[in-house]
Amino acid sequence: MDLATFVVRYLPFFAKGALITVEVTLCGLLLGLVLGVIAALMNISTIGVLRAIGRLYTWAIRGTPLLVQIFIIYAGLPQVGVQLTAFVSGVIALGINSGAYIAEIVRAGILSIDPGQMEAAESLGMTYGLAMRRIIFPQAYRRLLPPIVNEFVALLKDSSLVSVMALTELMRVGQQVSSSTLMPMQTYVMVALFYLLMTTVIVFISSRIERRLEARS
Amino acid sequence: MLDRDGGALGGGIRAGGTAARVATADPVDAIVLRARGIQKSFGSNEVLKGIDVEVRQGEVVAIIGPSGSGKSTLLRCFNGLETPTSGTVEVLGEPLSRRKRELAKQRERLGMVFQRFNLFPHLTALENIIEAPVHVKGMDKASATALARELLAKIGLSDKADAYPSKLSGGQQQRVAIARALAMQPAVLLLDEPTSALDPELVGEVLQVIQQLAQEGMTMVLVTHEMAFARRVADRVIFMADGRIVEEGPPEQFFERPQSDRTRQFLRDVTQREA
Repeated sequence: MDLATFVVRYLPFFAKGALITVEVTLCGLLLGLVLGVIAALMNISTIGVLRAIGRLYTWAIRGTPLLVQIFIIYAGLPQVGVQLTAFVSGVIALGINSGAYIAEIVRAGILSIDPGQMEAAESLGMTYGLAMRRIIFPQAYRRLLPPIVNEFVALLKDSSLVSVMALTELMRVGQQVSSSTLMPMQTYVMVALFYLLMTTVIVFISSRIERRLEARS
Repeated sequence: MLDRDGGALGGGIRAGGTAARVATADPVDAIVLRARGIQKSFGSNEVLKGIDVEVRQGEVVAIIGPSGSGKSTLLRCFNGLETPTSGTVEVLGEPLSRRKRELAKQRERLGMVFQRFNLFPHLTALENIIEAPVHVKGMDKASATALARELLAKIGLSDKADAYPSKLSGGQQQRVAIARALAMQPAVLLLDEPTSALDPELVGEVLQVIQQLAQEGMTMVLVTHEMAFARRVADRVIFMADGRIVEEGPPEQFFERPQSDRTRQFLRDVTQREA
């Protein structure tokens, strides 16, 4: 089979796999953002128990390989009676993993805001929660955008690991195409090009958003 | 202590309107802020060594003293930004709560103006002022905006309503910060060295606003290094050194006939520095 035939025949499969990759990564990132914000708030909490739980989470996740975490969720959970689809397992694995990294990003972002802002907000009678929501987060999120986009890119690449869950995302499609065509070089270069395309688009879009935010302030 | 005399004198000295208000108020209710036996340590460093202060309604109290004397820490104890190691602070007869939600409620009545302004940089001048009335008090946005425009007019910044803090001078930022505190209609305004971070040429415009508030009968506690201003605007001057109140009294007595050696030395040092 020549290259042109290969590309024409398998391009739709790669495109479909790439779409699944984007979906599982986006859902994972969304879950990661929620977990990350919660964990960040716990990590800076004055309540010892919350701080301990938050730190345990970031410590355990950042100190173990994503692939092992994936196996715990995909292979370990069914053993204890929790049955999840491959897609949901992938989202949970990526979400829990990225949440730990996002927690550190968010924590650093919150701590980078002048403490005088919280004092001013509290002096006006705001509760901690209201001050966070109205005063601290709106200032922090502009600083958070670039590192969170980095995390998004890293997560998109890491999502190739969920191919072990039999989720037919881009990497898994590559494995299937490779074994049926016996053309691993062409296949994986193709897969690489798809990843490159996606990460480039993310960086491009985020730099546009960043410029818009800067123009506004 | 001598607060009672100080308060009565203060009322007498200032504009008639305030004197009348102090006179008609119930004498117990008239105490807006009362601190008793305030002691504060940071680690082994004892910053406040037992402070008693009473502030009456309509009174302007200036706290002066060398840096490191604990003035700002005391002021921050008044609105719970610092928790005293021992002692109590009462606002309108109620001790400051240790519970966060109740403390937040009490802080609505305690306006605070910071040395470094601490305006919210992501909000315009007007948005800074309406933020707490709308989101803390639940005032509707139209009324809050009307109130904010009134306050902006009062501080002479009507044309800066839509400007972000980064586009305002230090003096303008501090005036907006004062308006932001006033928008909550506080029972007392606490000012922590409000002109210390300003270029000399911008100090006057801020002092002018504070003086106007004093004339309108606003209760204020002012930590300041501006001796001439303290003398002009305060009903009572408190001199602190090494975590204690060394001397307090009406300004003319304080500046003309200081009782303690420590005060005399401080005033001498200040006069020399200014000369």
